[in-house]
Amino acid sequence: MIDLLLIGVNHETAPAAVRDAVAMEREEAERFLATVRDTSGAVAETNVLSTCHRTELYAAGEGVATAGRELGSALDAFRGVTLFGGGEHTYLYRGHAVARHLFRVAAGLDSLMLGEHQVLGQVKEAAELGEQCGSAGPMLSRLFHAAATAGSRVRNETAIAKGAVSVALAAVRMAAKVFGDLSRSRVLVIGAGETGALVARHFAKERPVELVVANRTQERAAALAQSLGGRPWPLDRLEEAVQKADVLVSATSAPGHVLPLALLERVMRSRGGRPLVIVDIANPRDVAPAAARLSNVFLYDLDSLESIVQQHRAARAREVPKAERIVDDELDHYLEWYNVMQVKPMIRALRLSFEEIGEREARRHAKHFSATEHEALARYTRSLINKLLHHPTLRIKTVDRSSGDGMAMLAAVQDLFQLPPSMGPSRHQADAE
Amino acid sequence: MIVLLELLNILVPLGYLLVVLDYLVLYIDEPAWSVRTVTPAARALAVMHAVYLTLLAIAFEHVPVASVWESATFIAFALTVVYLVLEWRLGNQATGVFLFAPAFLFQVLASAYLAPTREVQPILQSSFFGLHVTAALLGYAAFAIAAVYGLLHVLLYRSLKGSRVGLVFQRLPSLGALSRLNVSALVFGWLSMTLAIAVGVLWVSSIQSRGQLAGTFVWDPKFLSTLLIWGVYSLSLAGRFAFRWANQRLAVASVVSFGLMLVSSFAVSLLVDSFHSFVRG
Repeated sequence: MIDLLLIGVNHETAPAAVRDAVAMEREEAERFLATVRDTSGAVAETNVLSTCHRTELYAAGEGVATAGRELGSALDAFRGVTLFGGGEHTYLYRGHAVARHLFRVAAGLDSLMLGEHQVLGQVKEAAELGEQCGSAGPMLSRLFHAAATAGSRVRNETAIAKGAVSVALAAVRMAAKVFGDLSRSRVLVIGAGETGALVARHFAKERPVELVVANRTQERAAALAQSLGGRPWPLDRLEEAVQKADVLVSATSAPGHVLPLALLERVMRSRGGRPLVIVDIANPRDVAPAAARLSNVFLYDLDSLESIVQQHRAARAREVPKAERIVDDELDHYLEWYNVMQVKPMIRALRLSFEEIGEREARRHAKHFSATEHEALARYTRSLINKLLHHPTLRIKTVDRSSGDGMAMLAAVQDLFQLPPSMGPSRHQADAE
Repeated sequence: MIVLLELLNILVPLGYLLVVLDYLVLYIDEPAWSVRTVTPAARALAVMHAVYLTLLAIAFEHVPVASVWESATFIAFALTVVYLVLEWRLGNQATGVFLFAPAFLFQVLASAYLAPTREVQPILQSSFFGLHVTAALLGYAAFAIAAVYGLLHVLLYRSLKGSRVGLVFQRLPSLGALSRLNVSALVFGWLSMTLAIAVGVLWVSSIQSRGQLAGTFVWDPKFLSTLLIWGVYSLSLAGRFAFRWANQRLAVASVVSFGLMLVSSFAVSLLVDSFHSFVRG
């Protein structure tokens, strides 16, 4: 019977060095799949999913359940490592567990950062890769597309991918919640260090009307401003810049407050109630903490941004049960199809056996019928076979292959109708090894 | 027709209840079924409510704005229509529960107390009356919308100040968008109310001069309370446009003004005799 197999490493089973050693770019994956196709006889279909934190080899075919070591060795040989053959850092799934695993991966439930969105695109790319290389047939193509559907549903129907999970992104989200469209805002960056530049880059992506960089060293301000598509601003005219700004990112290494309370009070009085978002990521802080109490000043320092990130992470975690239910739902749909595919060879063999008997008997009694009656007899035989096999076919399609009774029933069908041994039942080994 | 009206008198508030619950579920949990059903349900409700108002007008031969309870159902309808337009323009369903909840309240009160069988005063046949009352009710509906968006502005402002990213943060549109909605509704409401007062004064003066109405309207409690409310809203808008009030202050003012308006309107309509009672007792 056709089965599924998965062998892989991820952030939970292997350190970064090991993961890096087996990670594959698209071209490498294409070459590897071509190698496996040429050398591995038992495996009808293969595909590779390689992301930042995982490399996984999927296989489908008759007798694939026992091909894990062989596939692992092929991967080892291709990468020049001894990893998959030995199995120290690897995991191996068979049957339904393969599908469940990939569905959870696509949904972002198996990611280092819960709900991360890139992995869904990578699953879709892997589906395309397998199809283009010709290494993925109907079993794996369907598996990857079904996983992508599950992943899309989880993203659309839950908030698992929502909310900023980095300090820089949290700062942008808070500012966007104040102003709506940041492309109409003016951003002032004070300090040209690495930390400030990182946050400023996130704001620059929003394409603000104006982005200015003020720094003690004018050359560094000019360099950062150029890289962000903005312009430098003299530090001695800081108050004027704050007056104009909607968003202020401050990340200097100054020992005291660069923006004292008195300056901000003065500025806010003249802004006519226009809000000001201040992102203070300096340590020690650049902005007087008392500024948070000023009307229409939204002050976010490292502590508050970190707290926002934690709140978003907690919110994502609360969405997990809902996401798991969607995965289960999509898995049920997929397994319905998968189970039918599993017993399809048996159903085909059963029908073939009945048709052979029908044809043999028709030939044996041919002399008793005229030429015109032969056609009617053939129709009658086909109809009789359809009627006889209707209920057995339905029953075989819906049999629970994980139960002893189900397997006994399939064995009985095989025995009663003398079907070839390869069409017989093989119990799923759904657990991970 | 009366049987159909009696049926709609139950179905319309029931429809509001279902739509409020649907918007509430959407606000809290955003399930896919709610995202899918809530807008069509609200639109169907608007159609049902329009049919209800039309039947009322046909059956009782006057625009159903003659009593406080007829006005209540009209305001509920106005809130529904204005909200659906805003939802269509903004593409945000999250604020629906906050506008349908007061609409539901207005409709429940209207359905419970509405007694449209009594005749209305003949002076209300004037086209001035239609314009006066329609402008006034649109003004009330706009002020209700301004108050709702003002309240949401206050909630989101506090949430942003406190670095809290709960439901208020996740579901509501930006502070800027809420502020624009708040200001637009206030301006529209003020213009409507100004028109209602101007038309009302001209109309009453004209019928008084023809001897169709005795006494003076200047000391009428309804007129005085409306003038007071109009003054409060005028001051708020002056604060915004002349003295550059911050959005948050205007948001608070719109909530307080609406509360004041509700209290004074209901108190005057229910407790004090006024020539603004247009039904014959």
